Amino acid sequence: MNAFPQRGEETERQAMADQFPATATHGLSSARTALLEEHLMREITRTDAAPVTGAPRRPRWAMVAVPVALAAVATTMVLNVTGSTTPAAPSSVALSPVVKVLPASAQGTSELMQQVAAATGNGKRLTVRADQYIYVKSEVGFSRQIHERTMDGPIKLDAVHERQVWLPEDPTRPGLIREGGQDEKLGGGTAQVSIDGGAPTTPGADNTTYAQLAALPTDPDVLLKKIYAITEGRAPGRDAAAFDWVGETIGEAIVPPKVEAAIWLAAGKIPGVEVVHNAVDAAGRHGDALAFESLNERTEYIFDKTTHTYLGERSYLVKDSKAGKAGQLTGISAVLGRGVADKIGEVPSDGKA
Amino acid sequence: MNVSLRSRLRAGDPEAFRELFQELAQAVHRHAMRATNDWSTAEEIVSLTFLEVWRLREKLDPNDDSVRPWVYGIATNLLRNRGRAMRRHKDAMERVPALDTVPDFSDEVAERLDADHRLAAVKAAVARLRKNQRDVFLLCVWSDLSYSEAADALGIAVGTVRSRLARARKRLHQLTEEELKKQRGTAEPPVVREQIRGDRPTAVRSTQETVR
Repeated sequence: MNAFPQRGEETERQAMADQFPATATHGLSSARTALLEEHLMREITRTDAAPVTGAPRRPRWAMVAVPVALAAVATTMVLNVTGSTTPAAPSSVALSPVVKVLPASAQGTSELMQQVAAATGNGKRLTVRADQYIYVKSEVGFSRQIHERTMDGPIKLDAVHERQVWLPEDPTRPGLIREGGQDEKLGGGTAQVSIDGGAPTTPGADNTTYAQLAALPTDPDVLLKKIYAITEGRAPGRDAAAFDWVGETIGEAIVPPKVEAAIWLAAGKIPGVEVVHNAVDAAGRHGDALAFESLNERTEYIFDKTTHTYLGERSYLVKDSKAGKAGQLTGISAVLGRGVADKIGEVPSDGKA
Repeated sequence: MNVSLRSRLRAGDPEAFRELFQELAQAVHRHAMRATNDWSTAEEIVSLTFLEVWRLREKLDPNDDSVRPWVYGIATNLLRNRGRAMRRHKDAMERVPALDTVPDFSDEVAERLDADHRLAAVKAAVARLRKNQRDVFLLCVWSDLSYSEAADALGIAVGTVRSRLARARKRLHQLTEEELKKQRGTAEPPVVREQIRGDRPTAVRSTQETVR
């Protein structure tokens, strides 16, 4: 590194700024900034438990978007796509907020991932047209801070509840999340006049599409490099970010079997991954898991013991800390079905994973 | 920024948080706006960035450096992926005061932009940059972070910042030229700008990256 890079550097940056000028943006108005400041100050100094029932739930997109016509949420929709395993009804899941911190071992990771890859690599390849939607149904519970004054203080897991998503294969279109009986539109809404007067933009759901996943390399080593490149610079660190990418990519998507197999093989090569036996997903299904620990939190991707297919994920604290006891769950999910829908809100009948 | 702001923030002083917000909120919004071209997303990024700042404050290294690169680093992470942070701060985000209307967009800005094809072309070109290059470009050129600040923000080496920026510059020349050509195809009076010299023909269009 040059000890005195500043002068040359500034000239360089200035030259680029001249060549490639930024459009003026209004930024936040001072009134809005003041409002946000007050809001954030209130949030960080809250001492009470979050009044979960007090504040009306309002989808955040409703702030600017035209309200979605709230179709009566069909509670009668039944989808059983899990084959042999019948998940328990959400309300009957006896979910302990604190789980046992099971022993984890680096031994056997590659064997487990080989089995998983063999099981997924031969799966049925679905096709997703650009005008269709990826449908995923799952059970989820995420944690939140109880005392928001500290933000890293005690956490509490939301009750596990159903979540359905419709993600457009064309990411410039809107999608939909139906969670806890409420619909939340992803992207879309009103065609927004962009702030600086450019062409009106209608933000899309901006999800990862089947086509993007299909374009990923199927050689695990090449893919792992690619994953590191995609996640470069992300918190909390190189390997943790790569491991997170795997869960976020697989969780709510349809992945071509060969690519999914490669993703799992690549995940098995991330330094620090371990195997945890007998992990349990949000639907109460048991299986072996690929795990990674970062910042006192262990995240597990859980696979069916016999079919070796992906079931869901869970994460929990490894040691006692301000956030909670060892074993305190921070998040849990179970994927119950995946399929391809022609329309938002439509539940595909052939939605087998 | 001063020594005490960082240490006061680390110690959990809400007033230090307020000062930081006042100093950087607008800048983070501009940064997010340029990265997403979406006003409401940009505002969401501002709120999430500062909620994350507070949550992660104890992870700040105890030194006397400016907190600014760290804040931009958080914002950059969120621009790439804000799903987890949205879930983490679900309640706080739901309590964000609602906007009654989409804010009033100034007509003069719109007119100025229409008049300036170059600005529009640059904007479109930046949106088409690879994410890694775009992050560095946005930080170093449009948000005015030094190379070492950008390196801090992104957790990469200064040399990597330099090389990405060099690649971004080369690519922006090509892409801006392409965008201007596209405009000429549609706009009535062809705009000739001397300072833009396409240094190479672009026969093949690059794979587009989606704007995030």
